Amino acid sequence: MVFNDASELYKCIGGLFVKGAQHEAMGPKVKASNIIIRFNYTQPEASLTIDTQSTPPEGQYFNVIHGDNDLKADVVMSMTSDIAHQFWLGKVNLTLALSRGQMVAQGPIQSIMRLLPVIKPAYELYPQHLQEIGFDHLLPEEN
Amino acid sequence: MSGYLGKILYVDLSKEFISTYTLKPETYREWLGGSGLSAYLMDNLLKDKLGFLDPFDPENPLIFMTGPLTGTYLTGSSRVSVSALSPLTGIWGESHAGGFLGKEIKAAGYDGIIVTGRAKQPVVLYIEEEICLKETPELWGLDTYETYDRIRGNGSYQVAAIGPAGENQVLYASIIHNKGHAFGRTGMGAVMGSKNLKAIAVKGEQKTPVKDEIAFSKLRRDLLEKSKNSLAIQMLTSFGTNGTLEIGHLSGDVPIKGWQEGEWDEGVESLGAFSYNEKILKGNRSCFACSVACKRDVADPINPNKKAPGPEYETVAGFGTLLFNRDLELVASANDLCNRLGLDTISASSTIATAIRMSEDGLWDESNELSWDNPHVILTILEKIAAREDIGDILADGTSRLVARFNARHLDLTVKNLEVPYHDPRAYHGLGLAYATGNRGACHVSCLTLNIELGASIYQSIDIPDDFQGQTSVGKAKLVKEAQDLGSVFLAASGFCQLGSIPFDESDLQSALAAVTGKEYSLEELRSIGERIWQKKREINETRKVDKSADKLPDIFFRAQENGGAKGSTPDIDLLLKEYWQLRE
Ligand code: SF4
Repeated sequence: MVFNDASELYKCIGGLFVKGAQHEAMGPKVKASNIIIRFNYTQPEASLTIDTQSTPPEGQYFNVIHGDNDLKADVVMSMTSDIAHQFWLGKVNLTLALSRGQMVAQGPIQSIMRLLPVIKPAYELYPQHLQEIGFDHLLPEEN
Repeated sequence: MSGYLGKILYVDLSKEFISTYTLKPETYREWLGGSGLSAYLMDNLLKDKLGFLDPFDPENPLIFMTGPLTGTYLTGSSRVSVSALSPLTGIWGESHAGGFLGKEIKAAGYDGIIVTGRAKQPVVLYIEEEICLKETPELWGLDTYETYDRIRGNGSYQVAAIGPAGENQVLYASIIHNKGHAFGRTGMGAVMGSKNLKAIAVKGEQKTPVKDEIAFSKLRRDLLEKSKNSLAIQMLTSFGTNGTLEIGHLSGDVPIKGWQEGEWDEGVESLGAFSYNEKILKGNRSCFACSVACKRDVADPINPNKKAPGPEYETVAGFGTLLFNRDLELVASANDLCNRLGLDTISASSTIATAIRMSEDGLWDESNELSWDNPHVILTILEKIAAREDIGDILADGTSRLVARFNARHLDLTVKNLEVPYHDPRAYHGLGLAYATGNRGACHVSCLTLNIELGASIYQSIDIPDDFQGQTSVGKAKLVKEAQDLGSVFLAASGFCQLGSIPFDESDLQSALAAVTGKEYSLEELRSIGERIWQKKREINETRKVDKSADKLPDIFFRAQENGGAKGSTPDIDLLLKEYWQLRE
């Protein structure tokens, strides 16, 4: 397991989502989708929700919620935490992971496709974020 | 013989002679159908002439061929192939389309049609209860849509026609079925034009015989369910093939500015799935009995109150990102024009991109009107190509002859003279090997490599490691060989569509063949049929002096991109070819 517990996942991937929410290119795009996306993780168990519908904290374009909540998500993505980490490092073929069931996406395809423009800038942010928070040991050697 | 009608129509246009051809059941078993059976037939028809016959010689047979699943009501099984010696490549040529033509050929009582000879006057071949050739000089010069409108009658004929490009023997002329189903690749429209055959119109009432109706009905429901639950299929239904533009851009798969750039966010956003749906989409269409309905309708560029077939991914990439043009309406107009004129959108856009690069490098002064900043000139150029006018006459011969003429072979974008389709081998190294070893030249649809490397399809018999990566050459030779052999059956011969069958695997194909033909095909047998088909096409090429020394990739794919999803990646073609040929020989 890449993350020892849920709090490490929240720091790394949750922190990435917050950076995305503050990002001038990525933030408005996600906000414009007007959808709620829940990411359910296993090993360790954790859950992150991107809520573009309620008012976000200052400096963010959308909300990032750690843990369970009552929001009705438009899209639910489920995967192990290791796959999530590899994915944001750009090491997972999204389509193949979906075909193999390593990632499960539930929700209308139109909403799932809305997430695509977000992925590329997040690939760039994630290694930087890991370095900034002192988790650079999770970066592959070439980084 | 369930699944088949057991007869192939044979038409000699020179002698105005019409007959039928029958094949032994073992021959169907050995070659299955589609372009597999066509390769067998071509070898038998041409025999000693195979090695030297000019593709424009009247004896070059133009073969339309269905598969055993074509015309059944299984979702995604509408396909029919057209094969001949290709005037563009000089070797084995084939092209596939869906629509309703394959179903109708079988409804008329035939598994396929062989056309040979050359008519004295332009003719239309009518295939119904009676078969006849009608002289139709009044149709010569019309575009494919007008031709269809004149021939279709009350809509009961399914039509395959050429436009001015085919008449003028543009080497990459297509055949257009009805409106918008294109047999695009390898210049089959030019072969049809050389025969003075303007169109084929087919109608019939027979049902494709199915052996086990109960098993078939159950399978039909199961495949529909599988299809409905597949995210890839949901994406195709919602966005068409252009739904892959954004995801392809992420992995560096999309050609940008003549394959020179690795990313172009603004362009991809303007041309991508949501822009398409918001700006130009007017509706979905489907091929025969297919639940996917990935075909798009857009506003007719000539009469905006009407609908017309819209561009698919390859065309959006070709006239969009490749030519550095982010005007989606212009892409739709170029698509419409190519369909009407009967031009392959991949070869046409690739040839134009090459001309722009030559102009940039000062290698061809006459091409100065073409530039990355002047996309609107595309439409005029396409008209000139189809008419073989001015520089259009040079561009009508395709990329490899263009670069040879101006001593610019380093800019070639072809494999065996066929322009590379719009998936980048730097993003998917296996695909690079599939292009290099493709029997019709660079091809993304005759084998399963693209579906596998994109991650869309999984086959039980093709091993994909847990840490599978597109951008590695290690281990890909085995994958490509297996994907070619299985793909030769799955896609080229059975009648399944490459897109519609994305969620299906070998066991689905076996069940479909068993229900339709009543015959069990083991996996081993399917693979050996595929290998036989692949080898036959290869033998045809070798007879024509094109051997494995022609298994190469264009230079551009060995120059790594500096940005984008395939940054720093180039296929190790020496390793790939070495391992591949060890497996093949
Ligand atoms: S998937 Fe698309 S191209 Fe294939 S048969 Fe269905 S509608 Fe036609």
